[in-house]
Amino acid sequence: MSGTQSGKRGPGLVVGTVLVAMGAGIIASTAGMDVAPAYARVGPQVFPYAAGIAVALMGVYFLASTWMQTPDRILADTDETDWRAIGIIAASFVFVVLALKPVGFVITAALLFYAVTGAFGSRRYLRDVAIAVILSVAAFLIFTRLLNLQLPAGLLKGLL
Amino acid sequence: MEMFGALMGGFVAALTPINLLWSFVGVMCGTAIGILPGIGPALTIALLLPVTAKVDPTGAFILFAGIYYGAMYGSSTTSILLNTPGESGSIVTAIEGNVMARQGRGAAALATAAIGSFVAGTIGTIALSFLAPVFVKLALRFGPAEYFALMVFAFTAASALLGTSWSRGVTSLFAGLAIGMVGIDLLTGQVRMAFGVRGLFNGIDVVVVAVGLFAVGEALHIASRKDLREAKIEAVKGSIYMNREEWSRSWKPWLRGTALGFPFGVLPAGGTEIPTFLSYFLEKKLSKNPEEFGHGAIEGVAGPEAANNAAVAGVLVPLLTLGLPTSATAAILLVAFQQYGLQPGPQLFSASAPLVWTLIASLYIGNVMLLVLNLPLVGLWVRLLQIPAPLLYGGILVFSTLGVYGLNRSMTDIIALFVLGIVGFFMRRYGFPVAPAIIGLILGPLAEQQFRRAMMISQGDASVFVTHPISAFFLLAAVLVLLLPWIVRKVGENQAKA
Repeated sequence: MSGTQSGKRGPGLVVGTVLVAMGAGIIASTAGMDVAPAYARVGPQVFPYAAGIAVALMGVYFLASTWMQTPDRILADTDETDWRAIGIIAASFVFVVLALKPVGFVITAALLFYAVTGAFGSRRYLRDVAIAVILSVAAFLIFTRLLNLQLPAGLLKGLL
Repeated sequence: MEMFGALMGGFVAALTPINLLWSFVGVMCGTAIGILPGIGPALTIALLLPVTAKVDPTGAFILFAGIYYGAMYGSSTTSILLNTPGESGSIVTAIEGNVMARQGRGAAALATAAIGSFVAGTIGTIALSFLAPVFVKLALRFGPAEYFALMVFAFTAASALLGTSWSRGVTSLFAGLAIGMVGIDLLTGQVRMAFGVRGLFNGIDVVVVAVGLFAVGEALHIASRKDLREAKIEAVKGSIYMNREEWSRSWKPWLRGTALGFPFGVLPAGGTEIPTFLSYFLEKKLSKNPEEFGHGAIEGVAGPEAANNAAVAGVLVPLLTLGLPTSATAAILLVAFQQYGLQPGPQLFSASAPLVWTLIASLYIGNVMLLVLNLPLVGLWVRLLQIPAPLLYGGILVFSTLGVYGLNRSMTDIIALFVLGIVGFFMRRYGFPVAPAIIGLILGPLAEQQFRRAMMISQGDASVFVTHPISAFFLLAAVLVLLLPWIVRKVGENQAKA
C-alpha cells in the first residue's frame, strides 16, 4: 500500500523539484549580471526575474499539492515505460553529436535511423538497413545538390 | 474600397504559373507531412522552414499559405482514420470522425471535413480580407503600453485555455518565456542566461525549440510507450461523393462552425480548441437525433472541422496586423516572416502591401487547390498513414536533425535540439502542454521589448498600463479570462442548488 502511494507521489515531487531548481538557476544567472545603474529599474533583468520566480513558484505549487495528496490524474498516469527504447535513442543522440562532423551526415543519419527502428522494436533488420541507407543518401543528395545546403561529407568525402 | 484593388493585385501576382506551382507544392507537402501521426501543423511548417530558405519571399509565402492549410487538412484526415489528432483543433473531429470510419463511412467523413474546410476557409479568408485593414487602422493607434497589455491578455488566454490544466499551461508558458530570454539582450547588448556557453550568445532558434519539443519529444514519448506504437488505421470505405442526405445534414453545421470559429481565431484567446468543442455541443443540441452523437453523426464532423478551419483563418488577422501569434502554428509562421526580414504588424501593410495581399490571395487559391486535390488523392494519403512506426519515427528524427543543422550549421543547435527533445518527452509524460511554451518563447521577447519601451517613455512610471484606456481594457480582460473557470464553476454550483 505504501509502495503504491510513494509511486504516485514520485512524479509530483520530481516535477516540483526540477521546476524549483530551474527557477533558482534562472534567478541566479540573472542576479550574476553586471547591469549599468541607468537600467536598474526596467533593465534586462526584469523579465528573467519574473520568469524565474514564476517557474519556481509553480514548482512549489506542484510540491505542495503532491504533499497534501491532492490527487493528480496525469502525474500518476504513466506506469509502463520502455526505458530501454529511451536509452537507445538517447545514446544515438550522443553519437550524432560526436560523429556528425568527423564521420559525415550520411553514415551518422543512417545509424541514427537504424537505432530508432531498433528502439521501436522492429525486427525486419534487412528492410530497416536498406531504408536507412537509401534515405540518408537521398536526403544528402537532395539537400546538397538541389537546395544548396551544406552538409558534412565526412568519411565519404569525394564519394558522394 | 482600396482593399479590392489591393486584393486583385494580389491575385495577379499569385496566379502566375510559377506561383501556382509553389501553391501546389505547399498544399502537397503540407498535407503529406501533416498527415503523419504526431506531426501537427506547427511542426510541419518548422520542418519545412529550412527548405524554403532558397525561395524568393513571394514564392515562400505562397508556399507557406499552402502548407498552413494543407497541414490542417492532413491533421484532420489523421484524426478520422487513425484517431490520433495531430493538434488540439482536431480532437473533436476525431470523436465522431473515427466512429464513422469504423462504421465504413470514412469516405463521407473525409468528404464533409474537406468540403467544410473549404467553405469555412473561404469564408474565413474573405472575412480576413475585410477585417485586416480595420485592424491595421486600430493597431496604428497602439503604443508600447497597449501592445504589452494585449500580449499579457494573449499570454493569459493561451495558458488558461490551452491544454489540460491551468497550472501546467502557466508553467509551460513561463519556461518557454525563460528560453526566449537566452542570449544577447537587444536593448543593452548584455548576455543573459547563456551560462558561459558561447553557442548560446545568439539565443536558441525558435525552430530548434519547436522541432525539439514537438518532433523529438513526440518520438521519445511514443518509443517509451509500447501501447502507443501500433495504431489501428481504418480503411476508407464508401463513396467520397456525399449523398443528398449527407449534404443536407452538413451545410448548416459548416456555416455555424464557421461563424463560431472565425471570431475565436481573431481574438487572441487560445486558437482552435474552444470553438471546435463549442461547435460540437451546438450541433448536438440542435440535432433532431442527438442520440446519434458518439455513434457517428456527420454533423459532429462537419461543424467542428469548419470551426477549426475558420479559426485557422482568423488567427492570421492578429498575426498579420498586430504581429501577435495566438497559436503555436502562428508563432512558427511569425518566425518564417522574420526569416525574410519582415515584421508583421500594421507597418507591414504599408511597407510590403503587395506581398501581404499576394499572401491573402494565395490563401484563396490554396483552399481551392486543397479541395480539388485531396478527395481524389485520398488513397495516396492513406498509404502515408500506413508507414510503420519504426520507419516513421526514424525518418522524423533524421529529418529533424537535418533541418536543424541546416539552419545555422551549428552543433550547439543539435545539442539544444536533443536536450529540448528530452524535455519535451518529460513534458508529455507529466501532462505539460507544449504549445504555451512555444507561444511564451516567441511572445515573451516581444512583450519584454514593449514593456521596456513603455517604461522608458513613462520614465519608469508603471501606471501607464492602467491609465491608458485600451491598455487597461486588455489587462482587465486578462483578469477575467483567469477568473472565468472559477465563475463558471460558481454559477454551476448555484444552479445545482436552485
